Amino acid sequence: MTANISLGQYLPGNSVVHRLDPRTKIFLMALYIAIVFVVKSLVVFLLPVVLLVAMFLFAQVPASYFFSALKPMKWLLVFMFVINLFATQGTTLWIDWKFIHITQEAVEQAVYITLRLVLLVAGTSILTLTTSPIALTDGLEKLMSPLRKLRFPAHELAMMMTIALRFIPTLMEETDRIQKAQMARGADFESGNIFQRAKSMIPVLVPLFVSAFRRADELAMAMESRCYHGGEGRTRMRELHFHWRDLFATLLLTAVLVGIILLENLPL
Amino acid sequence: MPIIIEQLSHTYLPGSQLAYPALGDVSLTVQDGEFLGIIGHTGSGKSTLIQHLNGLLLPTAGSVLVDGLDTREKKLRKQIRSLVGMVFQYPEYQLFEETVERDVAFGPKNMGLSEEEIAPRVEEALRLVGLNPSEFAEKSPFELSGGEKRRAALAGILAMRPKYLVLDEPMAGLDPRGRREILALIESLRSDYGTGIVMVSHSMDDVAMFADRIAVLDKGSLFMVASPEDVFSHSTELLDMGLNLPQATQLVRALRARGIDIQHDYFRMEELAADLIGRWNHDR
Repeated sequence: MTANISLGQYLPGNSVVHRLDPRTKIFLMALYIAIVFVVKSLVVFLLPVVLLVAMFLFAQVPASYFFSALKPMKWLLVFMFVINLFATQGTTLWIDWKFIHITQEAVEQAVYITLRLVLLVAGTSILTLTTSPIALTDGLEKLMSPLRKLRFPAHELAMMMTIALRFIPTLMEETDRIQKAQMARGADFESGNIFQRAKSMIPVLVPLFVSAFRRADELAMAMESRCYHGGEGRTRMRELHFHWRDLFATLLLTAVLVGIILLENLPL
Repeated sequence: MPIIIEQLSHTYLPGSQLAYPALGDVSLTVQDGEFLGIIGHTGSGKSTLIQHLNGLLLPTAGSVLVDGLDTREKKLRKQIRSLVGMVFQYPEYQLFEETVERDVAFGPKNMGLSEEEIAPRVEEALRLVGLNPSEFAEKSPFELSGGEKRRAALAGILAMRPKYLVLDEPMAGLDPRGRREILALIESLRSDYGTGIVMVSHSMDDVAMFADRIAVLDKGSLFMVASPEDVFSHSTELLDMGLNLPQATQLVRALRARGIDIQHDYFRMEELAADLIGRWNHDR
């Protein structure tokens, strides 16, 4: 069944992080990514780790979401670790057995890369966990709106994202229904090799596309009959406002970033 | 042999936070060649129930036997699906082939029939639904009108020659003429081919007109299965469930409320009309 797929994994709540302005959160994520990439030594890695834990605590997100965020990445993580372990050149040999050479530098490199990826994925998942998709697109639209001067279609892009998000559950339902209708006619989606299976999807995909186009048409008409004419002069129902907490969070993360740059570059 | 539903329960997404019990302890038998109407308010479990009849959904508890074949047996499923034809709401949305002919042939082809066996079935099915094969076979299903699309989709099921035909709101969205045509087709399937019909409908008049028995579902359980006469004599309960009544039943209730004594619980307009005309002649 498809009903249990939560999109964008938004976890409704009312924590400080939830209440941050989406624009702030997008900016903070950029800062956080910068922090994760600036860090070079193992001791300093503690800072982003603490930051990540703090984010989970402040956002009141259960620790289980940390693991579910990493789950789709697990093979990539293993792969990155192994590649770096064997492929990194170094001087201090730790293991030297037949064709396997593992150096201290290689172990460090493998740990850093893996840790960085974990921090990145888990940290950015906080953004989607605490921000509803609609708030996220609102924030993106606002952030991109200065680019309108360069004829960049910020509003149109945000509207497209909103519509796409809104239609995902609808299309999933539709897929389920069409699939069942074809199964009732004896269609078999489960057996056969990969080519036979791909071919067996045609009876589902064709009606799905037809109905997606029909829905797009209907939506366009519905929007036009409500006088939609693009972003020009359009006001919004929920205005975004910055609060003190937005300033505070930004200052905090900026301080961490500056601190780390100093720590890494000062001869201590 | 009948379709036997025994103590059927179905829960969506069992074991998760979103677990939703849609059906509880439903026992029901669909007899050979009978016309069973299923009525119930939105969310009463009608769709869940009918999807069990050909193994699209499997029982969480209880069992469904189609002519003695258990729907839980994976090996039997293809056989079950060719015995029980299923017409979903808006079946025209399942059309996908380049020509009507090939679309109708999709079901029989999946049953593993040879080309020589399929061709006459396709032609027969198209004739049954009133689409002239020589005119429509080579057309693209997407250039047909709404009503024609619906009939082409129906032909796709009939070409499998099902012993039972399950229909979910087959007349939804059709104009009065389209409705009459589909109803006439369903009736002739039963009388000419002995096909057992299970029809979900919101139109009480259609169900009252054609069904031998009516199953009333309410909040996932079976309120009653009985003849239309019995079912519509429980008009107060039906109204409480948010269901409608056939026009004749409504009229009987209205006349009774005005103090006109009608003993019989009529549910078909013709019968009520005959009674009223009889009274009128008598009074004169």
